[in-house]
Amino acid sequence: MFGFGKNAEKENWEDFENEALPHLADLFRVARWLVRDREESEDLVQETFAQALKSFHRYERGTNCRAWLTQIMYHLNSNRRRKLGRMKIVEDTEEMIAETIAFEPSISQKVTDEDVLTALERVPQNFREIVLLADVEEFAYREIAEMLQIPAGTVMSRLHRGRKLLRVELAGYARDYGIKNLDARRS
Amino acid sequence: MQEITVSKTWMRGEVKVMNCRDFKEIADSYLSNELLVETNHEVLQHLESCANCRRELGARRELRDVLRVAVKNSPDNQINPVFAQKLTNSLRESAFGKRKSWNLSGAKTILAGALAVLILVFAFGLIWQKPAIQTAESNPNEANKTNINVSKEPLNVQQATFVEARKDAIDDHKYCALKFSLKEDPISLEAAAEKYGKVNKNLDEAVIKPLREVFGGKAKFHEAHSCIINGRRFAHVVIEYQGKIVSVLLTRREDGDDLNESDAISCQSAENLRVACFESGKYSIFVVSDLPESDNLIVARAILPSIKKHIERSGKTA
Repeated sequence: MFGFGKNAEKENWEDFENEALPHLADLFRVARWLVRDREESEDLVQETFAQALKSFHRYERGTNCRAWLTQIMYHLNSNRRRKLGRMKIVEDTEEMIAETIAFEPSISQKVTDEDVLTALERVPQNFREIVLLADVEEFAYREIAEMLQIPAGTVMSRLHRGRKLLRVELAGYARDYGIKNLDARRS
Repeated sequence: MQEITVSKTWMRGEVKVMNCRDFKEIADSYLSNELLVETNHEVLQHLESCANCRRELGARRELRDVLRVAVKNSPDNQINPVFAQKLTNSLRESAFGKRKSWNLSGAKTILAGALAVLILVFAFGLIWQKPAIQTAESNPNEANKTNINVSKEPLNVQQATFVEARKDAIDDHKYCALKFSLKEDPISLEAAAEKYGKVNKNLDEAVIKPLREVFGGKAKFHEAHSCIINGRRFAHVVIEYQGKIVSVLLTRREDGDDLNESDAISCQSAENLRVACFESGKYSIFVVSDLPESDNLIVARAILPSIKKHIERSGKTA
């Protein structure tokens, strides 16, 4: 009887298809670092987009849709973790490890993609996720603070420490390369 | 010391000359463009006179680039196109599936009717105000040009050149891949690599390989060449997917600046054709076909990592 209902659905879908769906691959990458298991990542992406479609009327046109979707993903993930009893309180020890890093080693230019990914794995989750959101996904500090529901100052301090930790991890590879190269020259 | 503490010192406008220690504290925020204009100015002043910090900044920028590329190119982090397609289909079904039953009566029906009339009047008013879309036939000077109904917002120069490139990509798909009626004969990608840049070389492999991996025999290679339309040169790979001709077109952006890398793909429709586009380095890449939008997007998504890697490699060997 009322054709406009169908048209509104069509328009809503077309908007969603243009604004949200192009970020599917980016959201999957974020999910991979959040939950690690591929199947669980797919579940989280699916839940995120289903929720986003339901709440699409709340999305403010012209703002960063990728940030909005990522915020939904973080929200859903913390709910999932809470249900599974996997909620992790920020660990003092991790904060302390980061605090004790005193020097800034230089990084070898020979590090490979694999070295970088392995080094990143070694950075504690609290710091790693913020480094990924800022330096890989290129979200603004303010957007990250909204996603993680933490103050902007905490984002900045964790980011600062996370980057330092990553540089220290990578410096380990740089030293290994140096030793290997030296050994190669000697033999 | 946290970055915010240092930034606040600068924000207060205290007279202080930035030293190397201060710079190191805020170098990353500078790279992220998160500092105040005044602090940026201080950083630039310091960099002018300090070669060590320039090197430090270069190293940090490089590390960030390496990190971004490593994470984005990691095979573990690539979405499975089959999953993406299934999810898109299920979202579409859910968007249209939950039909509301309009079981209204009495006053509610009258109100709803009035609302419908109001919306229709409003919508009609909007359509009435919409500027007429110029057709190719109405302007003989623009004979081969496609016209797309783009946003009514005024475009900046960068957007305008992008829209032009997209129109040309659609024309190239129509007049080269479908109608074989270009004014100038295409040349091989090998020859184009010599004349117009190494990015042309083996572009066909960067397109076909991921498609074969994902779709197997469903994706067939037709041809690859470099062609020119409306004065714009494209590296053009023609494939067939689900029985439809699909063009993958790569062209150098007019501004020629390296972009901040993003995996965002934008989608548009024009003249019954779907266009999915993304950008990498100095290039814009268009996937044009008359496939359904989600399928066209799936093709773009499947080739994106491989094309980005190809562009990055060609930049290094150029």
